[in-house]
Amino acid sequence: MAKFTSLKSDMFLGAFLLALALGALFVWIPLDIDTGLVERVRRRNVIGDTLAPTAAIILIILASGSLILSRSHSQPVASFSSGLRIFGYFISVFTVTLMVMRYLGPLFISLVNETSAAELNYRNLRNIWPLKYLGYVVGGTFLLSVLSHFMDNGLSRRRVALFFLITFMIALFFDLPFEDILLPPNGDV
Amino acid sequence: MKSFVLSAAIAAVTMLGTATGALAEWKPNGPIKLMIAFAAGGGADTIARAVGDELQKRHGWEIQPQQVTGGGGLKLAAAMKSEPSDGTTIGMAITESYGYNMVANPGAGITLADVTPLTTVAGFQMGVVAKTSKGWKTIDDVIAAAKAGETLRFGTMTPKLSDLAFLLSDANNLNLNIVEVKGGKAVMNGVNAGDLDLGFMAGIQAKGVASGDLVNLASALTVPLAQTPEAPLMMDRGVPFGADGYFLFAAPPGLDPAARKALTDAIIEVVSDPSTKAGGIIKKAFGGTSIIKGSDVEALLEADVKAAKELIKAAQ
Amino acid sequence: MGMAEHILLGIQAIFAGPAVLGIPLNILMVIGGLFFGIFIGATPGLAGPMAMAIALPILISIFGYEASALLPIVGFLLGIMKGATLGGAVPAILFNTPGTPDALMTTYDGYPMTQKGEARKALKAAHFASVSGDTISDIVLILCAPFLAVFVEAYLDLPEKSALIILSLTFIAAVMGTSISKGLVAIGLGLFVAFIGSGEDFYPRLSLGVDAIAGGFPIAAVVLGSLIIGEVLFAMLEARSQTQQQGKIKQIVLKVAGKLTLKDRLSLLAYILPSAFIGTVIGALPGIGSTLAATLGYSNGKRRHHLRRKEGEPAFGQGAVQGVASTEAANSAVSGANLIPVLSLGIPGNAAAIFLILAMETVDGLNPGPSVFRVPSEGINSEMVMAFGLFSLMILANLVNWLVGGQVMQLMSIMARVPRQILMPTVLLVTITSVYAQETSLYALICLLGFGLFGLFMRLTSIPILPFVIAYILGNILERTARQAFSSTGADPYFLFSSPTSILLMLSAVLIICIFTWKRHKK
Repeated sequence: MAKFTSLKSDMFLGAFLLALALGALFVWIPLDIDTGLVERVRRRNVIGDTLAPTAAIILIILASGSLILSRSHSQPVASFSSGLRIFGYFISVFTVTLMVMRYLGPLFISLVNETSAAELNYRNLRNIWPLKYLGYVVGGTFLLSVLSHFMDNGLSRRRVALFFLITFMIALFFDLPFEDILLPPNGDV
Repeated sequence: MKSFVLSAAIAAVTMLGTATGALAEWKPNGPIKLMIAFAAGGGADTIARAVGDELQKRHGWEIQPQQVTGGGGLKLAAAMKSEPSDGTTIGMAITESYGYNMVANPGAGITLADVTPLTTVAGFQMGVVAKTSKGWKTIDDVIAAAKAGETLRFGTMTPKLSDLAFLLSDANNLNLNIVEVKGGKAVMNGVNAGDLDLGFMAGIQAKGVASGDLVNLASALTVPLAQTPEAPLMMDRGVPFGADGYFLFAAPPGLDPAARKALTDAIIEVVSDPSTKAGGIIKKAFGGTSIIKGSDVEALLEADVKAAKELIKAAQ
Repeated sequence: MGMAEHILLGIQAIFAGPAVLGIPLNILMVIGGLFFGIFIGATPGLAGPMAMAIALPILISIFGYEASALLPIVGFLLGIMKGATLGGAVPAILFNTPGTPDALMTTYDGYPMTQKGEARKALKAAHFASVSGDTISDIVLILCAPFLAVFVEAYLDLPEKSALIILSLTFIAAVMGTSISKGLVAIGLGLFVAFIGSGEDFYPRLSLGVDAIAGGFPIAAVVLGSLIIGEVLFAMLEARSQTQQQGKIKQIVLKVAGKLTLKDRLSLLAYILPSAFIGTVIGALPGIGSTLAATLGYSNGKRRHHLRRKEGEPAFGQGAVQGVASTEAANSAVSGANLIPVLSLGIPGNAAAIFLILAMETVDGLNPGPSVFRVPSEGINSEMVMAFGLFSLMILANLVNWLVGGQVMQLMSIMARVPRQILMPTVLLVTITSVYAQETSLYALICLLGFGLFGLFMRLTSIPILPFVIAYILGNILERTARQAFSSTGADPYFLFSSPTSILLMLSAVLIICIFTWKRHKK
């Protein structure tokens, strides 16, 4: 990971947090909370829903302000562009993984329906082995392999096989002994 | 893949079998979702899960409990509105959810047309409770102490109860500080810790009252409390409303009548049997069941809505 | 009934419930947790809180939410906590890789001992010191927590309780992390996230009109995401940069040998007892954590050893068994004392305590806080019975740890050979699966991974994570207490300054910020 040791990194961080906090204070909080700082209920004042989040935001504003002013020599931070790349990478890996877990099973069923006369429905079959593992095991193997590749800058076929095995073992570990535990995506369909 | 195709075929055949099976006895055509309006571990949750387990045991229905908490039961009401009305979804709330809470939050867009009530199972034993060491015997001692200038904190757990506490304070020219906390347990902890001077408790005070640590100063119901019938009614101290309320099983609107009857009967059968876990809990904490079902429970909810409107107006 | 009866009932409680193979379930769970914890601690890259986090949703799925589930679930978690501190010494001694940050000092002398062929002696010394420290800390916990709780309940009213939470959060912001500004940023963010989707009004505030956010983010997703997933992602980044810089990590050949005699043990006590004392004091304060305890314990031992070292004995840093003992006694003594603020105030002090609080809040039967140790004039306080049940389980775990912990520890040395490239992705997947088991929705997984990325961001910008998580957990409690304090004082806007005690607490909070800012500035 590229390291970046500018003394200004904390200043940028402070400014970034300050901008977010000001946005929350002047836009999000006023528009998205229905009661005020203090409300009048049964002829008495009570604390409204706005007070606590406002206090939290003011704390962030003060702290990020002092971060800007402190000019502290902070720990090295990943450079902005390499940081963005890393977050983009993780986000896409997670998105693909969750999509595979969620839709592979139903997709497989609709393929079966297309190629045969069957009229099956994943929801009704979500308790049937090995269909209930399909999305999870394929998605999980994908996740492990990609991340291992990310760390190692390389990936052997043997390791993918190992990851398949690990994912499958995790599935068995959660599914076999515990009747009530569901694997992704079987609680969502 | 062979095993999969095979099991899929078996499943398909089994489903066909159930669909054309005997119509005489009502059966859900799938797992029953049991929505619970209050947090896991609380009274409503414990009763609902115990009833669910027993229904599964007795009838072979697959019951899947899940929490739909928030808004004093209104979250559940909103969620249940759009659930299938074939008996595969039931919910556990309290009558206050479809009474005061519904009326007080018109923004939720819930009306009595959005629910098929099944049956109540137990009633709150709502008392005004304080620690015995305070030296108060009845609510009159509290009124006297407050009149003498003591600043007292009255703990409540719902807006409705806060309204009732306010009316008590107002009718007797007192200056009670009403402190709304989260749940009956929190009221009891507050009273015990001395953070609150007195508060509403809906049944959890039973043990403390029996042991002499706590005292029921008054009944907040329209009737005396089962445990301490000698405690005066709050209604006789200038509050023209009762805190009567029940744990309520309900279903989505337009529930199929056969399903309604079967579900209602099955639930009542479970809670009325003190040898079941659910029946045992109800007997211990609420002094037995309070069953109001069918058109009676519909009438109860309508009366509650009317009373809630008046109460909200009175407590403005 | 008095406290003595409650203690007896608590001891009885651990034998109650179903038995498996003739062993009561509660006892089986705490022992299972202990062994699992040693296994986790012995695996470099894994730490106790990670295992507790993953285990909690599974345990809840198995045992449910009822009070009868409390002892098995929390017992298992306590076992992990104890085992992991012990196990952490294994890779530190054998492979010079500290399994947890607080085992860093253990490598200073443990690994040189391994190089000299005294690995077994080092492991035994670590075991002896760790279990001694843990036991001493537990005794202090059992003696102090009830009295502190009773004191708090007797003297603190709602305004003071609000002020106490504010003081604790300030203290945590000050002592954790690189700068007090960042600590306060973390606290502010944690509070703000806690306030999303909560509130008194029917419309859940800050929920953007999105139904999924209406009940707030799933707690497990926020806590596990920022603490565990964030850590895993950060470790992946580190591993990637190491691969780029220096190629593959090399394996070490090891020889396990060496003996620890009774005489050795007795002479080690002179190092273990002061370290255990240091660890216990630090553990009782929220937020400081075992790493500082290990550092202080080590340097105290070093000073002592410097004065008393005999001719021919190795100095600290060159394979002194006293160095291993000083470190391990101190970091293990943190864990028991950490439960003092948890049980008596409901305030978590470190990551392990966070998961214990989460477990106790999810499962019925024990709500951490001052009411736990109230002695009723008649009848029993079931929460106090539960608390003493937990204490009994902790003592029992220590006994088992004394007897067989050392052997289990040596068996686990194989775990250090598992490559991180396999371990880290696996931890990620297990965490995902475990959260799904509890929440059964992909939405919870999206939140989990989202907060994981948020945790990674915080690590990259060195904003401390623990203050964020602790503030998140205490946020709604703080707001609720403050609302109640406001109402109960008849809407006094200065309720936080309404009594001498609360003024003192609030002043302390301000003072802490000033002192720490000044100290950091001087550096």
